[in-house]
Amino acid sequence: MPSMYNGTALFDSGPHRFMVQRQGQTEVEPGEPAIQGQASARWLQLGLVQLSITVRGRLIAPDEAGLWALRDAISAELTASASPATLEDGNGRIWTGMWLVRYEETGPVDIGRAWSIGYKAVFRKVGQ
Amino acid sequence: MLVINPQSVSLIGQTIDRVRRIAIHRSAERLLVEWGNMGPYPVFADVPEQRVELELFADLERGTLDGLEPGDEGALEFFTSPTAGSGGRTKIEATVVVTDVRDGVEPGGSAQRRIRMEAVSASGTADPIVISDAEDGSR
Repeated sequence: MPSMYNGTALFDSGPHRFMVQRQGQTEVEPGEPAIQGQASARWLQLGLVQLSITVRGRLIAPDEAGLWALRDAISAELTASASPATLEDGNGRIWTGMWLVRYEETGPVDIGRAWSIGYKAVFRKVGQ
Repeated sequence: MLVINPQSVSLIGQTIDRVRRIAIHRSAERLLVEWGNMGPYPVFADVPEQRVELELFADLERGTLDGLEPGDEGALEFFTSPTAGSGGRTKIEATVVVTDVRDGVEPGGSAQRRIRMEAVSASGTADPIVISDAEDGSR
């Protein structure tokens, strides 16, 4: 079963791995007490951080045009996704209401037996 | 690839006599290995950067004070043939950059020169080693 975002197998041309990023509260560290002997202020909690999922992998195609098609398909989701969509990891785990917020290539195109490029894509949960 | 006793060896405009062997080594300069979500074994490997290095070993008849230097660039050409005739004769060509030149005396007493070279491709896509049929006796 391929991994999917918004019903499209964006990453299935090559190996890729899903990582759930840090979860929990966003906290502000207390400053030093203004007056010596005064109790330290408490950590200020601003609420739960948004759920973030990072996908790292490699897009693989037999030629340059094929690789551009894969890269453009991801870029299109970045610019065109007006509403959040479902992210599936291909192993049965599903996250609804996710936004693709960043796509970053980790190096130049590698040309060997195949055309390939490493990438990192970041998804965030909407409204959390 | 190893060519024993190659014929008519020319390197950067110089004829090199008494060449014992030329070895062509190919290796990965950068190796891509990728793992997926499903298990411990890599599911993709590729070599986007590779090197083609050549080593030439020639006997020296006498001591010498001249020779090629690291950084020199030009054509290496030589022939190989399974017989003394032209049947199966093959020409091997490459554009090379000299990387190392060493002269010394072998344990048996013969003086020998070893020249190491890096083969370069004009386009980056073509194999820098060009092998062609030379059965017609062409040079």
